[in-house]
Order: sequence, then C-alpha cells, then structure tokens
Amino acid sequence: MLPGEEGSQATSLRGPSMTSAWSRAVALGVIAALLTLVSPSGADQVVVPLELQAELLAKVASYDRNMPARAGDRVHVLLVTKPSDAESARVVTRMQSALHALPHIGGLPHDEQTIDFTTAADLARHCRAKHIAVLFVGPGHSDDLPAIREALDGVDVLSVSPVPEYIARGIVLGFDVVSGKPRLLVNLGQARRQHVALRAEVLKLMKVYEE
Amino acid sequence: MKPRGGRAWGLLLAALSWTRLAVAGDETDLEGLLDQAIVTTASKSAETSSNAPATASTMTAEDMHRFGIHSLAEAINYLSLGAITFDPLHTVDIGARGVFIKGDNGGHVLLLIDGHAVNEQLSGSARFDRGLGVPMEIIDHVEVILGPGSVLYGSNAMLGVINVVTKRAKDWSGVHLKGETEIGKSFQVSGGAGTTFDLFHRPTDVTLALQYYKHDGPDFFFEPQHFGVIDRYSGEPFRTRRDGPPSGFWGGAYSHVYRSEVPAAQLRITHGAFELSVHAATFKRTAPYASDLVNHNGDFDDPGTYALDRSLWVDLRHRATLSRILELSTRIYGDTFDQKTVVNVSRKLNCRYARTLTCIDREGNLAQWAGAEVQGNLDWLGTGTFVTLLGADGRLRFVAAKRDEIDFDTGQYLRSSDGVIRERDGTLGVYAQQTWQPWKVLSLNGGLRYDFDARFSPVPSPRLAATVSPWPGGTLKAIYAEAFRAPSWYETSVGSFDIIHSDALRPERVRSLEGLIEQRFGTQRIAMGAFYTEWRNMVELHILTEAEMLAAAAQGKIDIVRQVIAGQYRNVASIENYGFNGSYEGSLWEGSLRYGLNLTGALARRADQHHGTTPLEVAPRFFGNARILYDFPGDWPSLGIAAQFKTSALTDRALDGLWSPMPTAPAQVELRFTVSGPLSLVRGLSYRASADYAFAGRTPYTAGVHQSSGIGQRFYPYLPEFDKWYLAPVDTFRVTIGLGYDLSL
Repeated sequence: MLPGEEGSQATSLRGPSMTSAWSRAVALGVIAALLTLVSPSGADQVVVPLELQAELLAKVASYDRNMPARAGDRVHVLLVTKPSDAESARVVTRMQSALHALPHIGGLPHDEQTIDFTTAADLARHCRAKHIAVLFVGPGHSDDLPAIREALDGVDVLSVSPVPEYIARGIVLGFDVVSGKPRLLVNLGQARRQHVALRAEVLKLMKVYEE
Repeated sequence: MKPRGGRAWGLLLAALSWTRLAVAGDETDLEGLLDQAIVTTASKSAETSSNAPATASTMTAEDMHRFGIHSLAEAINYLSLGAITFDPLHTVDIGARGVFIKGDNGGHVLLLIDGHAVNEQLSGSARFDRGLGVPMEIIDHVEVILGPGSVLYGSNAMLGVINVVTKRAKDWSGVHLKGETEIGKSFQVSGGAGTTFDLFHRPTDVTLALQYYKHDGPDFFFEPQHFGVIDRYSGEPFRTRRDGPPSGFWGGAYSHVYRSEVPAAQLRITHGAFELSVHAATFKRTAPYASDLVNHNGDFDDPGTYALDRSLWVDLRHRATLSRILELSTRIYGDTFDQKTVVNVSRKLNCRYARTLTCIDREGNLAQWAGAEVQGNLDWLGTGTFVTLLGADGRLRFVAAKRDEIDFDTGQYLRSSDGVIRERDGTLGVYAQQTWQPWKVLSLNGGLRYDFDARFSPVPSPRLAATVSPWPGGTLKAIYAEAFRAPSWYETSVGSFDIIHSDALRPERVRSLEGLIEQRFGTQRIAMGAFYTEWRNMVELHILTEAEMLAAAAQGKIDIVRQVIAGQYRNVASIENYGFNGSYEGSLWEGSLRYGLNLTGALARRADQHHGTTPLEVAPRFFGNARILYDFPGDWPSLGIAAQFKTSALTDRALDGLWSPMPTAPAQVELRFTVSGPLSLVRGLSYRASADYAFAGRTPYTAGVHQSSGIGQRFYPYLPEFDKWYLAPVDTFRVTIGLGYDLSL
C-alpha cells in the first residue's frame, strides 16, 4: 500500500473567484469598444484591396461596349464621398490614389476628381455636365442608394462601388471576396438603365443581379 | 531514330505555345486577377497573397468540396503548400517546412477561426482534425501563412498561422442540410442557415451551422508484443486486460475502440460594424492502441479509455473609422476549454494497490481566458502607401490540471490528486507594424511585437519583409522573421510522482530567413521559395539520468522506491532547418480544368546534449500534393483527383527509444477520387462521393508496449523482444458518400 491510498481526496479543478478578474477584463474591452463608437462609421465593409479593385475596374471598363462613346478620348472618373463618413473619405482617397497610379482605364487615359455627396439629383447633374464615364460611390451611402439609383436612371455612366451590398441595391459594378478570391458583381438591370453594355465574355466571370 | 535533344526542343516549344495560349488576351488577364488569393492573416489587412509579407496560400471552399475534403487536416494535406499533418489515430499532429514536433498537439502552429486564436492556454494545443468543431460547410476559405508569425499574434505562431474563415450569409443564404457517411465507419449530419436583414436600420448578417459527427472503426490487428519480464509488483506476467488471467502480452484484435464523436456549433452575426462569433464543440475520441503518447500504460482494446475535449468561446469585435487616416478595431473575447482523459490500467506496475484490479488513470485539464485587443490603423498619407498598425492584446488566464487514480470497481479515489496545477496570470502583447510602398513596384513591411508574461522576460518578435514587383506578374520577396512559443503552463508548473517541477523555462524561439519568387501568366501561377530556420530552447520532457534521479531523490523531489523513471521539462534541444517550397497552379478552359502541385523539400536536424545531431523524428524530407479537377458542363459532375505524398521518416520513438539502427516509417502516397454535382431530380439536391486509398499501411507512430529497445532498458536485463518495434496502422481504404440539400429563401 502506498502513501495516500487511504483517505484520499480529489482536488477540484474549478478556480476560486476568477469572476472579478474576468469582469475587469471584459469591462476594459467594453470601454475600448465604446470608445470606437464615437463615430458610427465603418458599417459598410470594403473587402477587396482597393489597389486590386482599381486594376479590376480598369480591365472591366474595356469590356463595356459603350465606354469609348461615353468617354471619348479620356475617361473622367468621379469619386463621391459621404461628407459625414470618415470611412467614405478614407476609401475614396485611397481609390483615387490607386486609380491615379494606373496608366489606362478601359484602354484610355483618365483623370479623377472627387466631390462630396449632396443630393442624388446633383450627382446625376454633375455626371451629365462633366461627361463622367465612371462614377465611384464610396461607403456610407447606404441610405442614399434608392435616390442615387433613381437619379442615375438614363444617365450614361458606369457606377462602381467597393461595398458589395450596394450592387444589389442599384450600383452597376462591384467587388466582393468569395472563398478568399475576388469576385466581380454586376447589376444587369441597372447596367441597362445606365447604358452600360458589358460583353458576354466578362459577364460569365461575374455574379449577376438581374434586378 | 529521333535524337533526344530534338524531343526536348519539341516539348519546350509545346510548353511555350501552351503558355502563350494561357496568357493570350485581356480576358485571361482578368481571370488571372480574379484568381489571386486575398489574405488578411499575414498583416491583419486585406492584400493579395503575392503582396503578403509571408508565404501565403489559400484553400477555397469550392476546392475543399470538390476534392472531397472532410476536415482541416485533410485540406492541409491535399491542398496546402508547405504544411502537413499526421494522423496517429487520435489527435493529428501538424508540421511545416520539414519541422515536426511530435506529440505537440498543434502547439507550434497558431490556429485562428475568423481571427480568433483557439490554441488553449494550458498546453497550447489546437485541433486540426474533426476536433476543430467547425462544420466544413460553413468554411469559406482557409489561409495558410508559413513561417514565424508572432509579430502580430504572439505565442505559438512558430511554424505558421492558419486562419479558418467562415462564410457570411450573403454567400450562404438559405437553409443547408447535409448527410455523409464513410461507409461502415462514420456518419455526419449537419445543418445550417444564413440570412441577411435590416435591424435598427443596419444590415445584419447571421450564419449558423450545426453538426454531429460519429465515427466507429475500422478494427485493427496488432501483432502480439511480449513484455519479456514478470510484473515485479504482482509476481505474475503483465496484465493488459481486465478479464482473464494475465498473459504478459499486448496485442491482438482491437475492435470497436477506434471511435470519435463531435457535436459542434458555429455562429456568426454581423450587425453594422459589429461582429460576433460563438463556437461550441465537444470532441470525444478513443485511440486504437497504447503508446508513449496516448493511452499510456492502458489496457488493450479497452472501450472505457477515452479523451474528451469541450470548448466554448465568444468573440465580439467592432470596427470604426474615426478619421480620414485612423481606423480602430476592438475586440473582446472569452474562451473556456477543458479536457478529460480516462485510461484504464490493469498492470500492477502501474496500478499498485493491493485490492484494486484496475485503476482509472484520470487527468483533468481546464483553461479559461478572456481578453481585449485594440488595434489602430494609421494611413498617414491617405493612399495606403504608408500605414502604421498599432495594437495591444491583454489577456487574463486561469489554468488548472490534476491527475487522479480511481478504483475501477468501487469508484473510490486511490490517492490524493497528483500533478495539480492551479494558476492565474495575465499576459500582454503590444505590437507595431509599418508598411511603406515608396514606389508601386516595392513594398516594405516591418513589425515588432513584445509579449509580456510573468514567467519569463519580455519576448520580442520582429519581422522585416520586402516585396518587389519588377515586371508584370512577377513578385520577389525576402522575409526575416522571429517567433516564439511560451512554455505552456503544463510544462512550467506540473509536478507529479513521475515529473519533477521544471526549473525556469525559457520561451522556445525560432528565426527564419526566406526568399520567394512568383510569376503569374494569366491564370497560371508558379512560385518557388527557399528558407532557412533556426530553433532554440525547445522544451521537451527530459528523462532523468540515474545520477539525476538520485540527486532528485536526495532533495525529496521524487520517491525513488516507487518511481524508477521520472522526467522534467527542460529547454533541451535546438533545430536547424532549411529547404525549398515550390508550387504551380492554374486553370484552363474558363476554369473548367483546374490543377495544382505543391512540393516541399526540407532538411531538419535536431541537436541536444544526449543524442548529438540527428534528423528530426516523423518529419519527411519531401512532401506535397497534386490535384486536378474537371467541371463537366451543366448538371454533369465534377471529377477531382488529388494526391498527397511524403517520403520516409524516422519514427516518433526513433531517438528516445534507443533503437539501433533507428526505425523508419514507410513513404506514403494517398490518392483520392471525388465525384460531385447536382442531382437534377430535385432542385437544390446535390451529391458527393469519394474514395481514398493509402499505399502504405503504417504511420510513423510506435504502437504498443515496445516503446524502446532492450538495450535501452535501464532497470531490466537486455530483452531481445524489445528490439522489435511496431507502428500504428493506417486506415488505408475509405469510401464516402453524401447528399446535400440547399434551399434558397
């Protein structure tokens, strides 16, 4: 018989009071989370690196049969930000920089300009007046999408957004990540309304929203 | 006869023509761009794998489905670059780039699920097999980052970081049901749903997956192994079964004891800028043999011997852009993991109680931790070309462990709990990373993390990486990185009748230098890399020498009358490792035909005071995989063929078993054929069938009671029986069939 054979007792694994320590940790995290809530920005998530989005946009534009007629000898790109949304400003600035670094969009030289969003009607007017060929709608416009979609009806412009959810709601072209790889999204109904005619060979690479 | 040179030129011309075909046209360029993997794990931001400051690869849900993958371990073996797992028929071990730490239960790879680290905090282990507890159907993709990754993630990221990313509802909307059976051995049922809706004017995205997996068999036969001596505590032959007289043999038919069971659930809710992940799983398993690593001293073919893991964790994160240049993300998390192992032991040598026939050797482990991580991204120029990442991850931990011996028949505890650990502590990791892209063709990434743990001095983990894109589609990378593994609480704190409490342990460290060249030709991609790594302070259970035993006994640390062998966790070994990784992958015919090849060649040499310099056990010098998939059009099936291979390697006990010559495990080639597609009879119904054949019937793991050679027996006379070793078997042929139903809502 070995020492301890008689009168042995098992030791419990449960700790004494971790509750207070954990409470402190959780409280710390909650405080940190609350700090981030000072700005509600960030709800519209951009998942594809903007540099890759710019490259994809430049390629896809060459598959739009109406792009040469729309753009003429130069593609004018308008990037629109939501003034109250820091994320929108951040994404638009980066996209502008990424587009600027590309020699061509749709095989043509290009320039970029940014504006703050006021109203959808103003945006459509601006697109018509400045012969905008590509309209980049940054994050933060979730509430404006129905109006933007309506205002762009009949406007000859390729609208693009980095927020995948915007495509089903009326932006023509978008970018998403599925299974760790980029995917092109297109709203075919809206494309027709904005005179965007993408070739079949690129449509087969896209996720198509018919609405 | 045509000269050989002519044939070679012909092949070269054919290859060039094919390459030209592959790169022709904008459409192929676009397909090439869309075929680039996007990873978020290497630098905690989305980037293409070509630009990531590491050797990174991605395994997609589509590939995993069409190549008949059933677990993360299988995905790693059949699809990944540079990583490999071994299945000892209980919990798989994982290695990478030729380094394999036997029996570490995944402790040298950091495993993330949606960015949440799941390596438990008592011994650092993680489950890469079915025990992962994440239904395969909800996995969107898996990112495999090779090489030291502590710069952003802290401890355990020595071999690499693997991030399992689950699907969002937009990619998994509707209801999904699946049933699959590995004929005669296992079945799995799983169900899940994904939906999106607006809640409080914010888009909300919910995915939930549930699964139940049960596995039983096959039976295995083990050649009887004789103990060679009498059990000196009973005066009879060794007893290895409760029933019948003691025989002095271990072996025979192992039936109905190779089992596992995994109920699991994974939930992910995204609401605006918030994301909540919840995971719950249990993993009960029995191994069909006993060895130094599993069922130690356990009875033969005993259905009452098992191990049970239970895990539950919650992770809540929030992301906000505070200004044009500052993005802040925060997360809080809490985990609990416990493990119980039960081994029934009838050998009197290991169950030394006069009135007890069988002891239940029961171990209980518990780890609970909670923490908060805050991370700020400063895009100074607003262009993404000069970005600073700052972060801090604070964590509070509670760990506990104990070991009990219980009388099988009466349920009475036979002695006080042994090996008791009960510790609380806090850790902190602070990190910074600077990325700079001075020109479009050059990206630089430098980072440093300090980890604070009261058990040792702060550990720095630096990384420097440069990526150059000097020509279209071409990328060159150079990376220097260091990583560490904190000694686990088990290693630093356990003290029992056969393990002496460790002296101050230092963290294991690794440093790595690697170079990589990658070239894309449209949808084709070829990559080749070379690496050199140095590992030091490797912690192992050192078996005390006779002199050390006597010294420990003199200090009262061990009862030398009761215990003839004892160990102590020490920093004992170093490893030197170098080699290459190569991969080729591509697609043709608009993606209908896809193929890939991954190959790693590596030499790892381990050194310590007792063994000198030797090859590393279990680690093969060459391993990799190859795959080809053809999608027939319409409702016709997809046909996938995948192969994994590894060359011969030393067995797990080759060094400490003191065999001469050292035993080796056979090379292994495993083939899998998979057919999958829709069943046009019912909309949403689909099928998948796969057959898997392994050419070698043995793993590198030594099974049975012959765990060391007769010449190594310190307290026994030379026993020639012990010169023979036996390896755990492989389930060589498996056929799996399954049906799935997807209902769109």
